[in-house]
Amino acid sequence: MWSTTFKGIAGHKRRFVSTCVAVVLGVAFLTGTLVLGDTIRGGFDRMFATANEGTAVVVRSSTKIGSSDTGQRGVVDPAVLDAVRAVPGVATAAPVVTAPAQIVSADGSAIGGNGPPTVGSSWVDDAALEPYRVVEGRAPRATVGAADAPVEVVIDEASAQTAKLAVGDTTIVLVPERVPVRVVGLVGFGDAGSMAGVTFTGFAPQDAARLLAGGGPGLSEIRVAAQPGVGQDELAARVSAVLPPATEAITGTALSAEQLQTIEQGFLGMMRTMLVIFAGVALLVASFSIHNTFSIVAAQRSRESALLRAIGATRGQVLGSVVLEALLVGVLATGLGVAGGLGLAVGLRALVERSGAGLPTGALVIGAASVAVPVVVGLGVTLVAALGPALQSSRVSPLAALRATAVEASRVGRVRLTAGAVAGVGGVALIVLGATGGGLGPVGLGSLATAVAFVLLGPVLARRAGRVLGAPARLVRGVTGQLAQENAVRNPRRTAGTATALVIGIGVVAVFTVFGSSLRTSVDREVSSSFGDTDLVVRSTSFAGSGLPASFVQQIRQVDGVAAVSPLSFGDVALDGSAETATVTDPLELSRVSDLKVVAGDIARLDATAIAVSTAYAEDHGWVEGSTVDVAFADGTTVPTTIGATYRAKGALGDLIVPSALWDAHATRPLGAGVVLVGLDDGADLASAEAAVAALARDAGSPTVETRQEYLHSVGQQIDQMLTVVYVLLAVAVVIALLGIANTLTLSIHERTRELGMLRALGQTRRQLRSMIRWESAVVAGFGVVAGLALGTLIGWGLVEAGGDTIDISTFTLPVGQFVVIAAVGAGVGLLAAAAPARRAARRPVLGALTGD
Amino acid sequence: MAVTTTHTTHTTGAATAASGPAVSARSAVKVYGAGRTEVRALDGVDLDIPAGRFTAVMGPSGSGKSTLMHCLAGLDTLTDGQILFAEVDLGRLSDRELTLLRRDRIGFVFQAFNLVPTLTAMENITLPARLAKRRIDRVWLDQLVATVGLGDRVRHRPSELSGGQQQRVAVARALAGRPAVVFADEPTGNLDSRSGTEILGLMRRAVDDLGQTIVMVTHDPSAAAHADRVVFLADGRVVDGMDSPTAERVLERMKAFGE
Repeated sequence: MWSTTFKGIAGHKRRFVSTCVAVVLGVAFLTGTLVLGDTIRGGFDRMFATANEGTAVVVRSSTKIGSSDTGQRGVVDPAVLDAVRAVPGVATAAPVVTAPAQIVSADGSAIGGNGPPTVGSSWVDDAALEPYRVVEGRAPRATVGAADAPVEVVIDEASAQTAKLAVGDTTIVLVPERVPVRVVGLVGFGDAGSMAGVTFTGFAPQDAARLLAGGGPGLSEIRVAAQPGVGQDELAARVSAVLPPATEAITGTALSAEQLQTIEQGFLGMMRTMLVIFAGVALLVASFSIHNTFSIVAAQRSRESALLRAIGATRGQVLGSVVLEALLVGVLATGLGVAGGLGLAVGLRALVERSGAGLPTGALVIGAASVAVPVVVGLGVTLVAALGPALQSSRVSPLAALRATAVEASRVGRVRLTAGAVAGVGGVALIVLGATGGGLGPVGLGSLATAVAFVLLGPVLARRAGRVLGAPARLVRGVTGQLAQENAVRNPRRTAGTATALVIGIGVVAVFTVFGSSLRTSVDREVSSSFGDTDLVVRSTSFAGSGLPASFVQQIRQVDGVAAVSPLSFGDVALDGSAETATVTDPLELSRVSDLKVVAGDIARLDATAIAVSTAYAEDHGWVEGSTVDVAFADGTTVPTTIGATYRAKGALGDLIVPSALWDAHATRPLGAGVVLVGLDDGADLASAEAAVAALARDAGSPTVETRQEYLHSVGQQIDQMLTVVYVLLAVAVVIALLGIANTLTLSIHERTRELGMLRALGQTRRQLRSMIRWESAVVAGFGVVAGLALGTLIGWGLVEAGGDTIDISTFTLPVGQFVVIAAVGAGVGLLAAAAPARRAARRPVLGALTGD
Repeated sequence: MAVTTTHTTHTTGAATAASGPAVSARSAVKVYGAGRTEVRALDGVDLDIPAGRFTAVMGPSGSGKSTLMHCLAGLDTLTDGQILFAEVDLGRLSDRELTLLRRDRIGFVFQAFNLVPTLTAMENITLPARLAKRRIDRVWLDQLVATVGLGDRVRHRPSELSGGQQQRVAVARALAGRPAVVFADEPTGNLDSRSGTEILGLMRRAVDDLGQTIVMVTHDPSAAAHADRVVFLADGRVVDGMDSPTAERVLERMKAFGE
């Protein structure tokens, strides 16, 4: 039996290869993704270890508000410094003040802040405790003399390059107020020009305390170096003993681990999860694709299997033969996939390094799980996909050897039909139920049931869909089109199987596209309407930067025609213990430029003891206007506040509004505005006001100045950019589906060799033959695309209606334009898949095909 | 036959009837393989297929009769020599020109796998015309369908027709385009004798009533007896010919090969 299997494979190399390729692509995607994650994690691990190398203990506030990577930590009383220095075993202890600080480049734009943080910090003049080292120039010295004299700073080499600054140059650093600085030195981190893309500005300690601490006396942390022979744990315990309440001491090693965990749970975890999901989609598509191939092969081999059975092979032996082929495909494809994945990881690493995202990488790190998981998944997918066809082929009766035709059940059994109908009706009902108030649970379950229903009913749908979708083929290509259409629905089960792979790929694309278009509409409608009297939107070009200087906001107020200005900042608080990002602003100013669809209370009249929340958020927590809520701040205080207003339009401002007066009383660091809403006088000239604000912006790190329309357009473009990334990731799944179509087509054509020979003998030209096969493929692909779009739309609608509230999408919109593009791409995929099989079929000599040689 | 003789004046078959052979082989040589495995399927065949006649090609297995038909019909190319189809050397035609020649001037009836299973009988009959985007002569088509006795079975798919009915569809398709020559390759090989006789009768009448030129390859003496002339092939050469054959005489002649 073994030799039969090998001979079978040798005889169908192309089929074997293309079956493998589907698995190879999926496994490679998965492996590459996981290994890239490992490598980046390894990079961060080394980076934090280097940064904290000489630091034995760090003293910091134990108060922390907000999520781990963006949250705010309280400050340490400077008086603690002397107590720490007095602890036996402490060699040195350096006070550190850090706050967001953004370097303004030579051309006036603020750099960084769209990923890695922008850090301003006191320069520690102790190589053991300072992670950075001076590579050019010198360390900064405290400013003396005139108040407006440039402050001496060092900046990291990478930022200097981006900002086109050199030692001796003067520029501005936003902290967020504008600080004129002179670059006196460039620093590096280890061998690199920056610490994983962090933009760093180092100030002399006195300047840092004055400029970064926002006038407050608090230190961000105290870095402690140990005397020789004193262990980190021992020293941390000793230091802890002298600390006041709400202050803690952790070892440098623990800090590194914590920082790594923060990255792991934050962006790295998210990136990994997202990529693994897309790899999963690709593998799911691959499993359908190879299942189909194995089914066809099993059917075509039924005579051979029957013959083997007739001459005495047991069912087990026939089963074993097919399983063996699947196993060979699985082992070979998984092996190649893992190898390809490592190659992919190398490529991705190069891409990451060149992208300027500043992610640390270094040597490839291959975790055991990153190889084990793809191996198990690759083998599992192949064997599961092959199991059904293998059983089917072993069940063939020895008598089938005597029949002329291939045995392939193309009829759909009643059980299957009933199950499919039940799943379909139930699934759609669940989605509708979820969308109309049942929540995400029913939608998820309904989506799964609908997808299963599609797989079960696929053959029935394929026959009908083929008739409809093939109509254009008949119209355009006459009899060639008719032949193509008939061939496409000749074996509906096979057509459905082939299309299913594409349905999954296109379905996922459709869900994301529906999300994107719904998000756009929501932004258009709700953000736009909640903007009320806003005419201009000024926003920082970076989401994680220092924010905009308050003096710049003051300048906007002076511009001719400006009626109202409302700067919005974003800060972390905890409401009744749960962390939230609040919009911090002056409520009276906000109410002048916005219309938040207030349901109860009055935003304009919020004082320093009240907050406003969205109605959805209030409902979730069982609050109403007038409820009392404890709000905790990073300074360690908790303030009982009243809910002074509830509002519906949360699109632009989120769930929570905290008055600046309340925030400022508890701020540990200055908070720059991320967005400034500007309202103009009636009759004021929009263009000249925009130009005037834009001129001011050039001296404030060049934030974006847009009219309402321009702003909405930019948001739309951002959504499109996100979608583009999703499309690129899903391309792998679509390529696998394409290979599946090509493979099925090749097998079907092989089956019809004599028929094609006869057609050619009767006068079908090569061109007509190719056209016939291309149209057949287009009809199959068309079925996959239409079904995928339909399924994706249904599921997308359910998700938007049921869960849109939690992600600020509330208006379902059918993305007609994008769907047309997707349909065109799908049809193109069909034509592309047919290219090689059609060419091969047309190349066959008529006589050879006719006589079946 | 229901077809009136006025139609024959329009047919290509009739047009070429007066002017020499419909198709000829000149020193035709076909060699398969090379060296020790070389097989000379045709070893210098000279043959004229007269227009408007029914010619049967006979010979034992391996005599080259199928190869000869394939070459005469433009399905295969010669190693040496010439095939002249209406005085055109087929060896000089490209694949596309050969395809168009088959489509427009040749009809085929094969032993099996004659019909496209996804098309109805009527669609199979009109297939070559539709491939050529030719206008279909409805009157002629209806007469043809009536003649081959398919009636409303023409709306059925091949899988719903008997073997004899399928071959009648094939004959109708071959005749539908009024080709210069119809090539039939063992057209009755898969049929019971009664169905086979019907098919042969149809072809006979096409020659008599329409002046159709037909070349049929067969190994069945009683099938060959329907022809005007039988050409005997052995070892790739034309070894004999017989006009107005009867089954008995053909059988006698064939027996001689066995000795």
